[in-house]
Amino acid sequence: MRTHTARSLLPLAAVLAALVPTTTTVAAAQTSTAAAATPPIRRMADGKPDLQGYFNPQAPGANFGLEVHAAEFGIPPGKGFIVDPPDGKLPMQEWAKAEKQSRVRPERGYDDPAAHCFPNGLPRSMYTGGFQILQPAGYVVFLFQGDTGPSYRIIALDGRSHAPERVHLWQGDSAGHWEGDTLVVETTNFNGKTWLNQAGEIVSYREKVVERFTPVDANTINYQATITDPIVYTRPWSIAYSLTRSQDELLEVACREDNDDLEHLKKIKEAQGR
Amino acid sequence: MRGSLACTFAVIGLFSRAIPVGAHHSFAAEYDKNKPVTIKGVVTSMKWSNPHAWLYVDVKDADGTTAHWSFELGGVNGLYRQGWRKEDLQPGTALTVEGFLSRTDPHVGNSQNIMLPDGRRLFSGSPTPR
Repeated sequence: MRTHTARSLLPLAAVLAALVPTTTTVAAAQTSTAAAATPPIRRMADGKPDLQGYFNPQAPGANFGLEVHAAEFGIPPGKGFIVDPPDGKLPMQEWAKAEKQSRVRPERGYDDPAAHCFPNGLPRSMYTGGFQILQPAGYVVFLFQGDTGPSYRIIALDGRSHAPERVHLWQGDSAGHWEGDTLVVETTNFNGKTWLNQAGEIVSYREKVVERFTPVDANTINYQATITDPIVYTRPWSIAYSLTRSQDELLEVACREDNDDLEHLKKIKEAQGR
Repeated sequence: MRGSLACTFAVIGLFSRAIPVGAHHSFAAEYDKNKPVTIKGVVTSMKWSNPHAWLYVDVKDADGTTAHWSFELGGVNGLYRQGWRKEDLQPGTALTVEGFLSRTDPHVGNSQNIMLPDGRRLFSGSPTPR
C-alpha cells in the first residue's frame, strides 16, 4: 500500500518539483496568506520544537556555487545564499581564490570528494538533497540521502564537549543545544578534505560551523550557518535559506555501486599529467 | 505500468528541462560542451544503478556497422521521483537521444533529452547545459 501510494503521488510530485524554480516570486507574494493557513510549530512532550520529518533545502544551485551565479554549461543558476558579508561574496584569502579557479578545470573534477561518493561535510550536506530529521531523547539525528550515498549526523544535546583536536571527520563532530525555539549546533573536527560544491569553494580542517535551525511553522525551518575557517577565509561568513517539509521519504543511494564517472574523470586527470 | 508511464511522459514532457536531479560529479568536467550529439538508435538495455542510471543504445552507421553507445542519465532516486521505472525503456525501443559527448570516450555521452517516435520527450535528469 505504501508503495502504491508513493507511486500514485509521483506525477504530482514531479509537477510540483518542476514548478519550484518558477513559482518563487508568486510564493513570496502569497506568504502572508499562506502563513495564516499553515499549522503552528509542532512540539515534543517536553515543549521543545518537534523538527521531525523529511525536509528539502530551498537552495537550488548552491551545490554549484554559494555566490550569485548565472547558468553555464552543466551549471544551474544560483541566486546566492551568502547573507554575510553583505556583498554576498566569500571572503577568500588570495591563495584560496587561485585554488578555487584551479578546481573548476576539467582535470580537477576527479578531485571533488563527492565524485568518489565520500560524505559531503558541512554545510554541503545541508543543500545537496532532502534529509530526514529524527529526535530521539537527547539527540537530533539527520539522515541524508544526498548524491554521494547515505550519511548521517547524530547531534547530542547533553552539553558534551567536542572530540579531541587530533580527531578529524568527514562530517565533523557536532554538539547542539536549544536557545528558545532555535536549535543551535556547533561542529568542529573536520578533515579538510571536502569541497563546498562543484564550484570548488573551499574549507580546511580548521573549519567551524555554527548552525541555527529556527522553525517558523509546522512545515518551515529557517536555516542559517556561520562558517569560520582562518586558513581559507579572512573573516566568518554566513549562508541562509529555508528548509521545507515534504511528504517524500528517503530512498537508497548506493553511490559506489556503479560509479563509472570516476573512471572517466580519472582518465581526464591523467591526460593532463596531474 | 503502461498507463502510469503515459502519464509520466505527459508530465515530464511539459517540464523537460526544468530541474537537474543528479549531480555528484561535475558535468562540465566529464562532458564536452563543444560536442553536442544527437543519435537515433534502439535500446539494448537500461542499467538501473547508482549513482547514475545508464541507457545502452545500438546505432547503425551508414555503412551498416553497429556502434554501441552508453548514455548517462540522472541518479536513480531522482529519476524514480520523476516517475521513471527501470522497465520503462524496453530493449528494442526506437528512440532519439540528445546529449553531449564524453571528453574521453567516442561512444559515451550524457543524455539530456530522449524522444520517442511518437514525439514524446523524456527529461533524463542531468544538469541543464546552457
